[in-house]
Amino acid sequence: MSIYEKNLKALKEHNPRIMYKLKLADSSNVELTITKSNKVSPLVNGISLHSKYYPEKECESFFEENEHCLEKHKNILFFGIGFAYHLKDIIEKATNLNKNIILIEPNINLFNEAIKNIDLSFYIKNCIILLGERPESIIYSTWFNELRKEGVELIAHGPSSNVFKDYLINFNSLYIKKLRYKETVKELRSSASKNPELTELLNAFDEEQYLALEDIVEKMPDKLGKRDKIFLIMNELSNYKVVVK
Amino acid sequence: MEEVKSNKSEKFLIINLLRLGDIVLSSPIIKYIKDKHPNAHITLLMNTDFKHVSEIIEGIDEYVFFERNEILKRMANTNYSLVDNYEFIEQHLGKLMETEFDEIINLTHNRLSGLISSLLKTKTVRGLTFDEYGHKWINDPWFNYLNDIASINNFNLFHLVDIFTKGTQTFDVNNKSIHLKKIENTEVLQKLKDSGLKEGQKIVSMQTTTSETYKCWPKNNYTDLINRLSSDPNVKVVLTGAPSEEEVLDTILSKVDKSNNNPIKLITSLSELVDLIENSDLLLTPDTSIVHIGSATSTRILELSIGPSNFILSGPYGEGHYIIQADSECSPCAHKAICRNLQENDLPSCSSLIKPELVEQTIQKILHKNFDSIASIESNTSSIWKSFFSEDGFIEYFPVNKKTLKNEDYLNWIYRSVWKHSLSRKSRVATMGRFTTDSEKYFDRVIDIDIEAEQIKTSLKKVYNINSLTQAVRSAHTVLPLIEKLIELAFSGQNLAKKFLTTVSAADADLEEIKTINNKMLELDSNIYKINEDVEYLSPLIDTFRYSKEELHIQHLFPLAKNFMISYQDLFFRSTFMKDLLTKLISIVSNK
Repeated sequence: MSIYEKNLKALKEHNPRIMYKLKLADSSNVELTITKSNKVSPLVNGISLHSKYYPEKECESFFEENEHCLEKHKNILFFGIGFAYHLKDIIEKATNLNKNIILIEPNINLFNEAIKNIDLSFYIKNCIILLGERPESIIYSTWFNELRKEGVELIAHGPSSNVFKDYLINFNSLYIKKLRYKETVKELRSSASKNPELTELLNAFDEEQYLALEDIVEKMPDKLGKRDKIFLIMNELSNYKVVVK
Repeated sequence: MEEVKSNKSEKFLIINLLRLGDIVLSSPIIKYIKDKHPNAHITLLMNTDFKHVSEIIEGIDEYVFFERNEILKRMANTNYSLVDNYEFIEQHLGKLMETEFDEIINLTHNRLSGLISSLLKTKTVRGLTFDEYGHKWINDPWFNYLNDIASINNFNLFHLVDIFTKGTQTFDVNNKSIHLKKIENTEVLQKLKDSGLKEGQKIVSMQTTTSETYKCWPKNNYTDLINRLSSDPNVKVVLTGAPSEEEVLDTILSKVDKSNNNPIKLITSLSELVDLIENSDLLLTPDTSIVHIGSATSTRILELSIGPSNFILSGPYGEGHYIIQADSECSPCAHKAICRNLQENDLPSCSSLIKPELVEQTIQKILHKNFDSIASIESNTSSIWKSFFSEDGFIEYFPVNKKTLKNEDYLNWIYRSVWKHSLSRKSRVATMGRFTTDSEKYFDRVIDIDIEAEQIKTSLKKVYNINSLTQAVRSAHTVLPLIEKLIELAFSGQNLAKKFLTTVSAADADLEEIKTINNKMLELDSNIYKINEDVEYLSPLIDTFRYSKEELHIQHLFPLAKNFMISYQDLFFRSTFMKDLLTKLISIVSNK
C-alpha cells in the first residue's frame, strides 16, 4: 500500500469530511522541492514551509518551543500542518496527555500534496483536521464554543503563519472579538444589576442578611437599560452561526 | 386581550424569529386580532430569510425584517468595531424602539427574542421577556407549558396553534383554522395541463424534502410510491418544491419508470404552492412548513411523521387529515436525538417502517373518499392517525385502528384535562399570589369530575382496545399512592410558604425563623423530586413545579414568598385534580 493509499484509508475511517474537501484540490500555488537530506518539502507562492536542509529536525525545536503550552488547556489547536515535519514529537506528547488535538490547515492544495508524499496516518487517526475552513465557520461553530468554555490553546507554525498571515490575523481577531463580547457582557451585567455585595449575598444565600436584600436592590445605581440589553443581544447573536448562501 | 370588538387603533407587535412554518402557525392569532380589533395595526418582526412568506400571510400591516445574517456577518468582520455593531443594531431596531405598542406577542421563546421584546415600549408582553434586572419572565401559564413540557415529545399533549392561541388569549372555538391570503389564479392549473394533466385526473401533490434529514422518507420509497400511483390513469402525481429542492426531485424522478402517465415536477413560489395544494385532491408531505400551508387550504393532508416529527405538536391543523407514523418504540424521538438505528442512507430506521404500499393504499382510499375503509388497511409496522377537533376546540389525533395500551399512557388523557383547566384559569393572572385552599376558586369554576372522567374514558376508548384499557386502568391503584404522596408534600409546602410569607411580612422579622422555614422548604422539595426518580409518569407535574421554583427571582422577599405559594398551590391542585379524575376513571371502568 502506497503512502497515499494509507493516508486515504485513514482519512476515510477517521476524517471522512476531508475526503469531500480534497475534491476541491488542484495543484496551483504549491511546488515541491527536495531538501539536502532528500526529503520532499513544499513551497507555497514560492515560500518554503520547512527547512531546505534538514526538515526532519524541526520537530525537536518545535517541541521545545511549545511543550509548555500543552499543560494549560485541554484543547490544543495547531495552526499550519504543512508537510508535518514539525509536528511529530509534540503531537505524540499531546496524545499521551489525552488532549483534544485540532489541526488547522487553510490550504487544501497543500494538504493534498502532503498526503501524497508524507505518511500522515498517525495525525489523521489522533487529531481532528480542519481543512480549508473559513475562520468564521470555526469560531462561530457550536463545537468551538464548547471547546472555548473548556479552554483552548493555539500553537502556530511560524512559516505557515507567514504564508497564511491574513487567515491567522482574521482567526485571532474573531476569537478575541468573541471573547470580548463575553467579557463586555459579563462586566455590564455585574455593573448594571449586581453590585459585588449583592452578588455575594445571592451566591451564598445567606438568610441572615436576607432582609437587607431589598434595601440593596433599591440602592442599586443602575438597571438594565437599552445599552445593556443591546449588548446582551450582541452576546446572544455571537452564539449564532453565519449562514452563507 | 379584550373579548369584545374594539374600534381603537391599537398597535400589536408579533415577534416570530423562527422558520416559515412557525410564521404560518401564527396566522390564527393575526386573524383573531383583526376580527376583534378591526382598526388594529399589526407589525410582524421576522428574520429576513423568510421575507417571501409575506406573499401568503394575511392581516399584517407592516413587516419588519430582522437582519440577523447581516448583523452576524458584521460581527464576524474585523473592520467593524464593537461600537459600530452596537450602533448598527440600535439603528436597525430604532423604529421599533420608538413605537409604543399596546401589546407585544413573542412567539419565538429564545433569549434573543425575549431581549428584543424587553427593549421595546409596550403595555403588555405575552410570552418570554426580561425585566429591568435582566430576569426572565413568561407571562402566561400556556407559554410556561410551551417552554417546560411541549418540547418533550413523550409528554406534550397539545398542538402549537392551540398553545399559541391559548397563551395569547386568542383561542376561538368557533374559528379553528390556519388563515392565509386567498390566492388568485396563478396559472398553476394551466401549467399542470401543459405538462400532461388530463381532464378528470386526481392530483396528488408531494413534498419530498424537509430541512431536517431525520424527518425524510427514503427517496427510493418515493420512487416506488410514484410508480404505484402512476399506474392508475386516474391519478396524477405532482412533485413540488422550492428551487433549492429541484436536485432532489430530479433524483427521485430519474428512477421513476417511464410510462404514459409520467409525474409532473413543479417548482413553485409560495403563492403558487398554495394554489397548487388548493387545486390538489391530496397533499403528501413529511413534517415541514408545507403541512401548515396545506392546513390553510381545503385539501386533505397525509403526513409522513418520521424521526423527531411530533404531529401532536405540529401536525396538520384541521379536521380529517391523516398521519402515518411508524410503530417503533422510540417514535417520535427527541429533537436532535441521534438515531441508534441509523440506516445506510443516514435516515432513521423508522423511516423505512412506513411502507410505500401502505401509503399508496391510504392515498387511494382518501382519493375515493372511502374514509371508513382506511381502518381495514393492514400494517404491522405503522399506524394511521386522523385529526379531529374536540368539543372544546382543541385539535386531537386518534388512530384509525385501536392500539394496545402500554404502561401508564392513559395518564396522558388525564394530564390533558389537568393542563386545560389549570393553565387556562384566569385567576392566576388576576389574583397572583392569593392563597386559596378551595378548588373552585383555584379553577375559577366548579369542575364536574364525573363528566370530565367520562370524557377521558370516551377518548381512551377511541385510541385503545377495550381489554388493554380495562386492564391498565384497573392496575392504576399502584399510581394513586404516589399522587397522594405528592398532594401531601404540596400541601405541606403551601403551609410552609404561607408561614414564610407571614414571617417576612412582619415588622420585626425573625431572621432565624426565616432561615429555618427556608431549610424546611428545601428539604421538602428534595422529597418531591425523589418521587420523580422512581417513576417517570409524574414528571410533567414535578418538572413544572421544579422549573417554577428555579425561575423565582429574589429581588424582594415579599413577592418571592408569594411566588413560593403559587408554585406549591399549582402542584397541590393539579395533583389533587389528577387523583380525583383517576379515582373516578378507575371506578367507571371497573363497574362496566
